[in-house]
Amino acid sequence: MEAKPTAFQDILIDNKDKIYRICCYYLSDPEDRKDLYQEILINIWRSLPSFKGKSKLETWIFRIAVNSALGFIYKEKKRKDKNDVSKDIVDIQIESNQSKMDEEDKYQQVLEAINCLKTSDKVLISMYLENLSQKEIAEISGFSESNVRVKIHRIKKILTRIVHTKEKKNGKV
Amino acid sequence: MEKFKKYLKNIKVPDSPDFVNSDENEMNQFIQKLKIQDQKDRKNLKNFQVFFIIVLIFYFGLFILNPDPYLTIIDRLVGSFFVIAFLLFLLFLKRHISSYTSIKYDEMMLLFLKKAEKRYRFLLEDSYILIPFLLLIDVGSCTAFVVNYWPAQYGFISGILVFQVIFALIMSLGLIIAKRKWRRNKSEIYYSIKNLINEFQMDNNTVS
Repeated sequence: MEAKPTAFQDILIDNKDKIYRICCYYLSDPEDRKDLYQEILINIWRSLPSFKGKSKLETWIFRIAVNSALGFIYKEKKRKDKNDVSKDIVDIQIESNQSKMDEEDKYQQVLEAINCLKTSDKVLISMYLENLSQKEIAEISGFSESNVRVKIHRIKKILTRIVHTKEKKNGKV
Repeated sequence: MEKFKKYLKNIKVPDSPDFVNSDENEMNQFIQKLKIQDQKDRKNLKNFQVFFIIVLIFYFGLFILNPDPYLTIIDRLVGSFFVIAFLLFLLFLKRHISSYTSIKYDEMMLLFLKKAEKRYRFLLEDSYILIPFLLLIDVGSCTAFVVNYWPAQYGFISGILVFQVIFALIMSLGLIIAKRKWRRNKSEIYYSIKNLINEFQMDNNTVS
């Protein structure tokens, strides 16, 4: 009877930071991150009885987190416009935001850039950044492994371009 | 990118009471809340089912088992149509509710999105269950109307035709109201899910 709470506690202890980081990839507003974090935990709790151990626990958690994040995004009507931002707008936003940029600021800006990527790009890059293998990403998303590889390469290029634009703007290059 | 990954590893859950953390008390409180919510959900679903079963038994008793000698065969036939129609509607509602309460978050993302898209459609996939329901209501009400209220001198056929026109108007009005309600509450979510699926599938095709 007490197996579910114990399993849930173990999951939470081992994965809470990872779950929070997923919230950070998808959303920039701290309040929204808090709500999504809570929602992911609730969905993990509700899905626990159906976990049969066929996939790795980490993959299973990621699947729930990604689906919860997508559910959260499409229910948040006010988010709609923000999520449809094209990468050009991302560049503009990043460029206009910067002044003095040390390394940490730069990473923070990259994280903000990730927040503004297309939802499909966010899904893939978030898993890549959490060190999931291409096989695992394919398993979670439903894409083929080769698609995952090409897509991640493309997203990395977009992000690198953003960082370079920022560095140029700051006269670092 | 590797440096950035290292930087990300330093992002931790904020140490705030707003976030459920590893603290045992906090976690126990959260689990307790979840358990209470689960119990509430189960209770609501059960109450809903009990309510409909009671109503169904009541109608069954009123129209079919009722020994009232003034209750004609036609009345009993109409009553059975309503009872069967009500039973079908109950099945439809039960399916509909369980599709919302048993959303599987641990499914493959694309599958999850496709199922969500089906849930938010204007006409649900299992809406066909409502066709026999509507037919039974139509036949039952039409029979009751023509037999009990329609002046015999105008003929049964004209009575049936008049009723069908009224019934079609009511159904159309219902459909218009439902569509407007769907547009207001669900269409935006539906189209954003659809766009997201297209976005994923387009990317998938482009890469392939």
